[in-house]
Amino acid sequence: MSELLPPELLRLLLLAAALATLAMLVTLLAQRTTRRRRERRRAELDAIHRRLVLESTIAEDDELPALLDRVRGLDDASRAHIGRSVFMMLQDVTGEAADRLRQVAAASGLAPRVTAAARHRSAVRRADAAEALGRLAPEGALELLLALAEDRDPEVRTVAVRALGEFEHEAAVARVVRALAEDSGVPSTVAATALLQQGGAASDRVRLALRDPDAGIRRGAARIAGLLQVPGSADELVALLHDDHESVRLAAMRSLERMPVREALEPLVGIALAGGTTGEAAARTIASMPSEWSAPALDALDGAEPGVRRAAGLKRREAAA
Amino acid sequence: MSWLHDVLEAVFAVLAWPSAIYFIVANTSMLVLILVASRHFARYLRRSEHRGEDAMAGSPVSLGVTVIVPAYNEGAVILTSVRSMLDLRYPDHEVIVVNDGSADETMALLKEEFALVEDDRDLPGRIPVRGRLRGVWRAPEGAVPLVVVDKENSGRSDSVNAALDLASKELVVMVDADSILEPDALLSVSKPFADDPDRVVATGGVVRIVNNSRVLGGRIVELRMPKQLITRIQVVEYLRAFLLGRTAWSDLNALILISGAFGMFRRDVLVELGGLDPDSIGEDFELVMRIQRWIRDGHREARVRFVAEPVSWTEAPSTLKVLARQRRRWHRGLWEVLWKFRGMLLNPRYGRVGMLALPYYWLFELLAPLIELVGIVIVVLGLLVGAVDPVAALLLLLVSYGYGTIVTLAAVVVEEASFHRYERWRDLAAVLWAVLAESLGYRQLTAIWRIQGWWAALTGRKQVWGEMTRTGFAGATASGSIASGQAERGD
Repeated sequence: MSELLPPELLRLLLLAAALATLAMLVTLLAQRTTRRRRERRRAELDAIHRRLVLESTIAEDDELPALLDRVRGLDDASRAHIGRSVFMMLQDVTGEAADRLRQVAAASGLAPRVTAAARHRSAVRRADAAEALGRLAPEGALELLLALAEDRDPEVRTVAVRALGEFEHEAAVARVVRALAEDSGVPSTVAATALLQQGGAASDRVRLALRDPDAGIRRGAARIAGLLQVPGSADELVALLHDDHESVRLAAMRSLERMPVREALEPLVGIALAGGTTGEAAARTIASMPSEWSAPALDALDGAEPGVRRAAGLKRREAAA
Repeated sequence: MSWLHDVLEAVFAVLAWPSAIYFIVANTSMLVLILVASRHFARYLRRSEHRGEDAMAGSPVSLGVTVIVPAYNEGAVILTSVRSMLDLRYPDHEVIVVNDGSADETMALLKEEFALVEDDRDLPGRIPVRGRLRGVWRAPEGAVPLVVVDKENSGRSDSVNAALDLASKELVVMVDADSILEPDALLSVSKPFADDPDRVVATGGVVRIVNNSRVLGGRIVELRMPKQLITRIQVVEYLRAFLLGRTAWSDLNALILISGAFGMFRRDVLVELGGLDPDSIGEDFELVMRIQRWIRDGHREARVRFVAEPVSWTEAPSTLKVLARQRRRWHRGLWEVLWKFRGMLLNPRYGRVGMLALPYYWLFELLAPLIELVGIVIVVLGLLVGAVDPVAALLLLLVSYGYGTIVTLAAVVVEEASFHRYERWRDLAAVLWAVLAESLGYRQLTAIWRIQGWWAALTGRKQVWGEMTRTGFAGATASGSIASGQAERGD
């Protein structure tokens, strides 16, 4: 073997290995040192500005302008740090405090940066911008988000639809409902969650969506109709128990657990007796209904398969005996 | 001894270059996997500001999750474990504990702590369970979403199957009772299902080692490197093979192994496949292989994904005896599963699983200890009798252990750039020492144990789990003083 391997080549290999090892060790140390320095700097800025941000959050109306002026008067690094801190805080803060924080973010100059990022050529930056637009809600955010919801990149569309959940405007609701469609590229849970956030403002659209030709839209609407207690949707939900798509039927059952309808019992018993996962879901829905309605239906499930009986809360035969 | 000299010289002449090439390809393959994983991490971390897990955390439309916790003699940890599982941040999850015929107070503790009442509802019986059920218990209505199955001892897989039969949510996650899940673990590991509900059928979360870290109330409050060198080396192994390797396989859409200590599955798929195979030693591996075959045979557009961020922490063996037993079992499981699914090997019908992942596992996982040990024996004997050129021996050393060490170091660099879990300088030093020490005896020892496990499988010897004792996490440092058993199930 050594005949085929000149000593020079071996030396070269050893040298390469040593250099690679050294390079990686240096990289390790550099990464850690840089990160620590950055964290230290953040902690320092936090210590300096935390009080100002918190004071702004709880300030009286007449005190706020002065505090915001103080934010505007800070250097670039401090304002960037405050903008970032506020952005993170808005994830957990709601109500009046969140409105104040948004004003602090505006004073820190975050809004123009976010607006510019919404048109960035990088999809990741556009998605970041969509997230920030939802949280900060600066002027013109709705229009930008509606545009981002049509982005060519599905990731950007997803974040934009999620962010639209912060807006109760008719256009926002309509766009989110469209995002429930099977080919929208937006996960249905994201769109459904956004509609839930829009709350009562979405009710009319959700009721109409229960009849949409797209199965994805029907499924999403059926899933949240019960959670939103959409007025006038009960009959539609009962009708959806006969939908061609199993996922739509399952979604309708989940909603009927929260909006019990007596007319649903008959089709639900039929589905439950057919068994399987859908049968179990039907049994759960029956069991969740008022006992004075569900008692005869539960009796009808006595001969159902064990999984269905369990879902309906029926006792084991030996236990019942 | 001239005959030995001649034989070794001839053998070395034939095997030297193939061996060198083997190790170069093996280490280069691992390096490629690490690079693929690092690219994945870079993409993942760049998206940290808009992943939206918090938005989903409170969403009632999230898919429900059943957390399955098989427990055998887990009295020391069971209450902390169940409480921490119930406290996981997720909008809709239930916990099913299966007491697998424990001889200790596991069942009594659960009954008392959660005031369990008998659950006399019907049993679905969708999945065959071998162990006789003694009873099903549940927390009182309106309390916590907890079900406890009490059954005769029949092993972990059978226990999981018993829980699977009673699971009522769309997704199920299997977690070992001695594992610690991070609070957001369910949110993260279920995210691929939420993002792609029609295609994702299984996800695996990363498993890391908890030994010597401070644990309070089932949560890690201070992460530290383990004290013992063999456990430190396992940290590096887990990092390279589990975190980076599996991330890369997932990216390549060829993930064939999800850790049983933390894997999430679509319940309907598991029920259709009949649950875990109670006769398999590598039941987790076997299950994922069955899923992959089910996907390809049915021409299904389904995916198995690995998620690097949510972490399940587990105690790793801290003694050679326990480690040896674990590695024998792992390799035995590897062989049995690879052999069972040999029809998928190099079969284009199974796509990247058949053409890429399985050849890799056969060549660089199953055969590696054999090739390594044969190489060591020939080189050492050859050097002793002067049949092997020292320069050639040095070259083999370089391409096998030297290159391997560099690859492992690359894995550490990627970890430092991405998740950097070990923040203390002394922990970094411990990691670097472990990287170096892995090749100085540890690898050779594990190679011997792996061969023993393989041999045991070939000769049909019965697998023995051994006794297990546990110190528990509550209010203390995870000492890693497990004698055997569950810690071996880290993967």
